[in-house]
Amino acid sequence: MSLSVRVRVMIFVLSLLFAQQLVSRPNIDAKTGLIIDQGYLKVKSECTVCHSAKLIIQNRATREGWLKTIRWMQDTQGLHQLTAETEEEILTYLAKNYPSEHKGRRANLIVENWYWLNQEQ
Amino acid sequence: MKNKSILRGIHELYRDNPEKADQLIWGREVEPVSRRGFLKKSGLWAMSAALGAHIPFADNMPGGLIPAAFADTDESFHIPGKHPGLIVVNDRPVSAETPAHLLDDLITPVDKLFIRNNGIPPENIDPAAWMLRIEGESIESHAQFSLEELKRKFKHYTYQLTIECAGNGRSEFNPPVPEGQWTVGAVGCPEWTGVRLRDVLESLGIKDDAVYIGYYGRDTHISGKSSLDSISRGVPMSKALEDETLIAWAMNGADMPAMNGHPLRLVCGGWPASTSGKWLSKIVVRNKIHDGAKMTGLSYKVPCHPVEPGSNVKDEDMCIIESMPVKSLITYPKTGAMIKAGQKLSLRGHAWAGDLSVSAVDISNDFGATWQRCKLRQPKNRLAWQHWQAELDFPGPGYYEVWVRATDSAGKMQPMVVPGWNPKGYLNNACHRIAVKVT
Repeated sequence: MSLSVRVRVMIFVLSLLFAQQLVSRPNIDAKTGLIIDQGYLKVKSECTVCHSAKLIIQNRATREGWLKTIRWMQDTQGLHQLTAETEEEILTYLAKNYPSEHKGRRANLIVENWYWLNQEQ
Repeated sequence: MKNKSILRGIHELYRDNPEKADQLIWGREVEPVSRRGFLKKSGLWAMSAALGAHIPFADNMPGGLIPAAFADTDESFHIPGKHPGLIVVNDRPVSAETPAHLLDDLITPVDKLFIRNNGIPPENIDPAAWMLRIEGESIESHAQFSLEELKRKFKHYTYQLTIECAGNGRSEFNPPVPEGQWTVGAVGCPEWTGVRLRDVLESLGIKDDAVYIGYYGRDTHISGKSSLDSISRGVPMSKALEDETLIAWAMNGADMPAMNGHPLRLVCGGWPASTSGKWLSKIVVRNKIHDGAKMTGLSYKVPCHPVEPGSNVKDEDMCIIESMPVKSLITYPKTGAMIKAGQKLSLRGHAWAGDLSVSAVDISNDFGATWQRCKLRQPKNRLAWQHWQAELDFPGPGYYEVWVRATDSAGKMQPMVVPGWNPKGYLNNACHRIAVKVT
């Protein structure tokens, strides 16, 4: 095994370890990506039966906004009636962990990778 | 990958034999007639215990389905037949968008066309057995066509047609709006081949009182309830009878991918892509506005009059979206480009305007203070996007944003900020921006 291959293997292993660390951040549920907090198991059981947790995680809303979404799912998407207790727990969890953020009329651009442009067309 | 041979993952098990996997992992057997539910409560208990909670729709849960909580364990969710650069917005139902720089082709390749599913796509499709029924109160005679009959009885047409999800750009609305957080890439413009919807309907006789058509597809509702349609939308007769409105089976000259509606779909170019029903099995001609799933309530509607952001809007004050607004994209270069001072930057992209055409495209590198006119090509046919290109000078080093703004044939321009807030977050046509550094 040449040195450069060994270095590459080592980088690979290190990057795996790093990735491992990323996915096992203590407050994120590795299976769903949901923030671990009071009520997340309820959210997991009631919501991810029908749709991916991605649909929750990428969204932000006020408590009222989340309630509206639940009512819409109940009115049109076949979601059953939740007990008052369950609904309360889910709403509190969502409003706390995925709250509405003020974005303004246009956010700054986020650039993940700056790169040198080689302008051959 | 060493792990692969040792660890036979949950996904692999489900891929090989979903019902066997249910049984192996959970001891689950489905109700034999409906193939849903749990025959023995022990299976339900095992799955619930692993999920850490009970399953509300247990009786409706189709057999052989990985619970989404476990389906989520895959770091990268791969969609067969699609470019790995597509961004998965939602994996159940599947939605994926194409980053702007991957939309650079003049004609969108099949692997780069976005996916927006409302339900679970049909499985085991047999094109030879596929039937399309034409019904409804406003068609003289009801009929049913096989795919082969459609191809044989009616003239074929090929058009390049732009389809865009009405919610494309939703992620920018403030206050935020739930549902898929699309950025800019829920749009594409492939070539579609099929027969004209008009030819098929006219062959059966359209009654004078016809107002709207509605479609039904073979996808099933995500809750597993057979009583619910996932989506059944439509268009007014004026749109249905246009030359370019197709019942299509091919995309870019080949059968279209399963996720884009194989073997048959509607294509209503320039209108919300939700009017272009996939896995098409029935068309109804109605004497009133079609009232299928997602035609009512707030779906695919915007306030008839502008509202304050975050407002509650009554159903009766909402109007159905028809033509999509004028819009454009910078597809080259990709955002984040660095160039040397004194270098010119070549840019290109597409512009489209729903039912209209695009009359001008301008770009700015000073946050909209000044604009430079671009070269703009004519569309290949009506309702196809148009290509623009430009060369831009930069006055010196620094951080720049290049903005693109199209003007439609009626003189309407794209706004530079996010347009009017609406309860479902549709129709954001604010100008596209990329970041450029000159050093």
